[in-house]
Amino acid sequence: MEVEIKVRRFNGEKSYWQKYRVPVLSGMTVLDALLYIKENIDATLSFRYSCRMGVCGSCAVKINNKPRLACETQILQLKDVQIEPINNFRVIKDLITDFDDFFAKHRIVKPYLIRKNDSYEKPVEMIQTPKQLKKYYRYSLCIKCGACNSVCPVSSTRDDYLGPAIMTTVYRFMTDNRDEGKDERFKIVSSERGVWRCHFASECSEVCPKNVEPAKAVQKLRIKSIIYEIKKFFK
Amino acid sequence: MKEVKNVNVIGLTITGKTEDDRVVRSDNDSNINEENKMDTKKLEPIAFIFQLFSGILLAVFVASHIYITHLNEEALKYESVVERLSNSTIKVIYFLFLVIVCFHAFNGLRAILLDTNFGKRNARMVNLLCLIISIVSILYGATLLISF
Amino acid sequence: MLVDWFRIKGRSLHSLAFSFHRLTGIVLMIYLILHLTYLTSLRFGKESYEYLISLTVRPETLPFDLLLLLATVFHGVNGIRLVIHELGFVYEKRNLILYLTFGIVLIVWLYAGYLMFLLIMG
Ligand code: SF4
Ligand code: FES
Repeated sequence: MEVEIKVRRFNGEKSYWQKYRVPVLSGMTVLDALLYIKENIDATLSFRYSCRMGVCGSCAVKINNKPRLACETQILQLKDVQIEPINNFRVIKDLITDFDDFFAKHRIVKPYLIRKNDSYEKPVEMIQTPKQLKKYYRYSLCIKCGACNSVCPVSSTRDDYLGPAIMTTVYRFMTDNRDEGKDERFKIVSSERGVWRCHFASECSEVCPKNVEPAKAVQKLRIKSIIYEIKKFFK
Repeated sequence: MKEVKNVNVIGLTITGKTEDDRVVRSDNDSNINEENKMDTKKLEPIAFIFQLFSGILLAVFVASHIYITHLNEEALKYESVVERLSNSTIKVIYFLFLVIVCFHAFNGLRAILLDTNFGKRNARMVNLLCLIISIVSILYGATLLISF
Repeated sequence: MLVDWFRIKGRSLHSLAFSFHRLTGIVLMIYLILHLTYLTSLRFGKESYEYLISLTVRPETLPFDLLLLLATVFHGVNGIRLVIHELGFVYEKRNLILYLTFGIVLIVWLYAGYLMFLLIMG
């Protein structure tokens, strides 16, 4: 069976649609089709992928207007296939978007365990019960694919807004009992570029391929930072 | 910040900054932001909570306001409006209504403006502007209330 | 870009609710300003007030009234939904609550609009 695939291309100057006809077998994903095009039809088509099994988050593209992972979308489940780069990110070439700012924002919020006195000479075990793990486990599943940021209405109009993915990461570390970096992170997250910009459009939760539920994380993070700020106010 | 040369990677010429430079840049950005917004940051959670609760109150207020003014054909007549406004309990309620609605509306406007890059650059101006508009409209509405 | 606030193609109903909320918020804010200005006429006495009323409360303006009513009802009901979620409640049931919100908006609007229709058309 042959399927017509429409790809939004960009060569640095202009962007245009291009159509390809690809023979598909059952079980083929959109990423497989893109690879087929690259190998057999048009070697200039550029896209990003790495793990081809939904773990790395490199391959998020807009398929039929919805951001999804190309490697996890079955091509036969779609009627017609139309592939575009995701929104809110600068397009570099064809389906490849610039993630530098996205990762830089991640670095700002320090996505690692912060410990007040960590000694490498006398290491101590960091204890965590399964219950404590369960508190943040879901939010640690994020693969940084950027799909949530690409549909966030605020991310599209304010470029320094952290966005759902980053705030989910923050929430993940905030609820980790081993972490001691509250003050540093609240400073960033409860500023104007952080939680106060979310208005619960909740589209991020709808598109997340890993069901991380970023919208929930942001709401909870906001409540946390309200309590934190008010406590600080009276101190 | 160190100067970055063009790097040649597998036949591609990449112009611009290295990744390390980007980190520096972004960190600087965030610091600038922190300093700029120090004064408003403390009020931000309070504004947010007020927005929620004023919203709930407004739902009640506006519903009854619309209900009262559309109760019958008499309700919008000049005499009945003036009569309603000269009752002091109603005056107090209307004043509260006025304060809440002005806060909610212009705090909402502030949120919308801050959602944009324009708001990012002029955060302080936006905050001030919305504060001024809401105070002016509260005062203006109050003069209407006390003139009856 | 600002149009992204109102982009609903390929998005879920949640985005539609967001766009509407923003739009109705702006409309209601403009109306608030107009409303306050309009009430100034009360101070100029009976004639000017009744003149304005006769201008704005008549069958021809009923469609605008109804739209304004829709904006108010939507902003109110959807706002309550947002308050519930933003305080961290019933996040899991958000789809159901969204449908409920649209339903309530429709019912309240139709009912209130009907009453308004009766009042203005006499
Ligand atoms: S939260 Fe979900 S949509 Fe957002 S970056 Fe992580 S995996 Fe992707
Ligand atoms: S290629 Fe790794 S997630 Fe799709």
